[in-house]
Amino acid sequence: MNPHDFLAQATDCFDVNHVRELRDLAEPGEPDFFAELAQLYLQSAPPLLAELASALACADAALAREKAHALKGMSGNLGAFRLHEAAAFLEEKAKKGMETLFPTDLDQVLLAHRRVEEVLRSFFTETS
Amino acid sequence: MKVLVVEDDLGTQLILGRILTKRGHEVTVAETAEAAMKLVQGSFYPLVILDVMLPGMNGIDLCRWLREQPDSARQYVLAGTGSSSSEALQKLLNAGANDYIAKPFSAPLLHIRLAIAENQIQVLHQRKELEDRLRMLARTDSLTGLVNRAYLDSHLPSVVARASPEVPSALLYIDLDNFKIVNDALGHAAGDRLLCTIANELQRAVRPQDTVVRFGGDEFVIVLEKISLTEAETLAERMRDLLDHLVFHEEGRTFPVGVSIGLVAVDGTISPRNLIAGADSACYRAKANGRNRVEVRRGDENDVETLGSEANWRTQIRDALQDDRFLLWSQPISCVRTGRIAFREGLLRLRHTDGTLIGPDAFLPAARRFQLMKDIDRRVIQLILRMLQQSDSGDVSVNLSVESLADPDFSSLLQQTFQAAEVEPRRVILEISEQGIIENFHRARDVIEGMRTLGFRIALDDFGAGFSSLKHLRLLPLDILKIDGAFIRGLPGDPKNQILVRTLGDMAHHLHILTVAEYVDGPETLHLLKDLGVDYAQGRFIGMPTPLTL
Repeated sequence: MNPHDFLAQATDCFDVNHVRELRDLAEPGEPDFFAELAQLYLQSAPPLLAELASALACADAALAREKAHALKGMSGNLGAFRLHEAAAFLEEKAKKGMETLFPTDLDQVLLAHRRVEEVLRSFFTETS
Repeated sequence: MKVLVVEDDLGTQLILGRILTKRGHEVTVAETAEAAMKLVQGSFYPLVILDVMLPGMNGIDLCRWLREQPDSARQYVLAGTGSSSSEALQKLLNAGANDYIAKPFSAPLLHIRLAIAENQIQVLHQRKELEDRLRMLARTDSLTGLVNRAYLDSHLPSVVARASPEVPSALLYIDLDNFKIVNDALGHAAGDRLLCTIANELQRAVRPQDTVVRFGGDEFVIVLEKISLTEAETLAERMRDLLDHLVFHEEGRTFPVGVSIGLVAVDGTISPRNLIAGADSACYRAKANGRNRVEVRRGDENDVETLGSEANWRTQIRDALQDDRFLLWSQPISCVRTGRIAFREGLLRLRHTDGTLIGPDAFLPAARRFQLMKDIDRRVIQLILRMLQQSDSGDVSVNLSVESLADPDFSSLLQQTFQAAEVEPRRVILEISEQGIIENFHRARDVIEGMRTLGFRIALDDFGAGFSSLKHLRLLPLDILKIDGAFIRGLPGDPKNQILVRTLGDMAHHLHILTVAEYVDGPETLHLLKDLGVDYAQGRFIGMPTPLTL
């Protein structure tokens, strides 16, 4: 798939410039670096989200903060700005303690994650 | 360059790894601060890129720890942080980070920050190299290439700390026997070549673990590590023998070299300063015992402590000569009949580096022992000249050492300096002691006659206290006789001393010699001296010593 086509349909959740910069890191003949990071995300994000959900359910603010921070970093690297913002918001709330956290706070994160996952899967389908 | 990335996020590791590799760096990854600390202890990383949020110890604490490590000054720390609050960034910089970069990383921005870091590391590296070079230069003797005294000062404490009676080391103090002859006969350039030759020979004679130091002038110190006293003696003897057989050739002439060596064992119980003083003293003894010898300093710490203080005086005197810290005070000497000031005696003082003034009793014994009297006399002459040129202070008397009296060059030196300064020698009375005359009467008489011919007046000091030989009064061309204070103290109540003083005065007058009474401490004594026919009086009652104000 032409990268421009992919970027055109993902601007609601991906920072187009960031993705382009990542893809530019690969020299001609080298594997697509964005694809490498995307693959890593698809593998790591689901268990991380499960751990985050569990931390919130158990009212473990410190663990929730740690997992939110990890998700923030992972999404940020990929240029998934919507998910990055949601994870950052959750991390900040977790920092203040459980009193401000609710299980529903995870919803924004999950929503953003699903969109990212959808785009990435279609990216791999198109490029395979 | 070796780069340490401290980052727990795999994606960030990949991005940094990719970009750093592209820039030609060798990347090592640590997932925690604790793992990074282990790596840093084993290897130096000019660039550390760390994440602030790490599991376990955080990046800020790691940064602080890094700054406490050796070589940290040439390490560049770049911190990656998701926080952009100025408070958080200030915290990072306070912890010692050189720069920060916002997360998530933007590849072009990361390239720019890395380019800045690389540039800065280059500067840090160059600065470190320059500092190392300057440090090395400061510790190296530029003539011989050996390490110098500054190096010894920093090196010796660790040698002492490592040494014990079971595992001793040794220190040699080496002084060239004939350096002055070469220097005087052939000039400084030849003297320098001789020093370089000796430095090479000494360097070749020692073992790799030993340190040869150019201590100053023609003195060398060698630190022999982990060596028994017997082995050290053998090695020192071998060096002495080697240099004894060395002949220095210059301008078709040959000069035997020869060294005197003082040796002291380093067993961890004696301070570095006292070790040097002990070895120096042994070297002095080697010289006194005929040169070209090795002498071993044995004895307890107290003994060495005393020597430490004497050798310390030697340095003090040398430094004071160099830094112009000798000065003259003056005490008036009045005419007994008229009460007017006839002349003043110049009294030597040393101004310590802490500002206190020190009298000659404290430093003259050490000056004699370390053969610095002639240098001190020469300085005194300069001070006298300065005084006579700049003030209308009348005539001045000054003490001259035994050593200068025995110096065949001293008369001509006096002549030249007084001529150059355009000061009349008759304004100066040179006070000499009987001791100097006894040691070599004929030479002393020649020197005294020479000085009188130049116009100086000569006084014989402390007469009556020691030898008091009438032969001296008869055969020496004296102008003044200073009667020892022992005859003057308590004079009003001592009829015997009154008779002796009167007799001494009569005798002197018949030989056309004037008399001075020292230690005059009251009006009664002064009155009595007038009756006894003494010409001049000096002492507390006449006037205390005061600083010369030029």
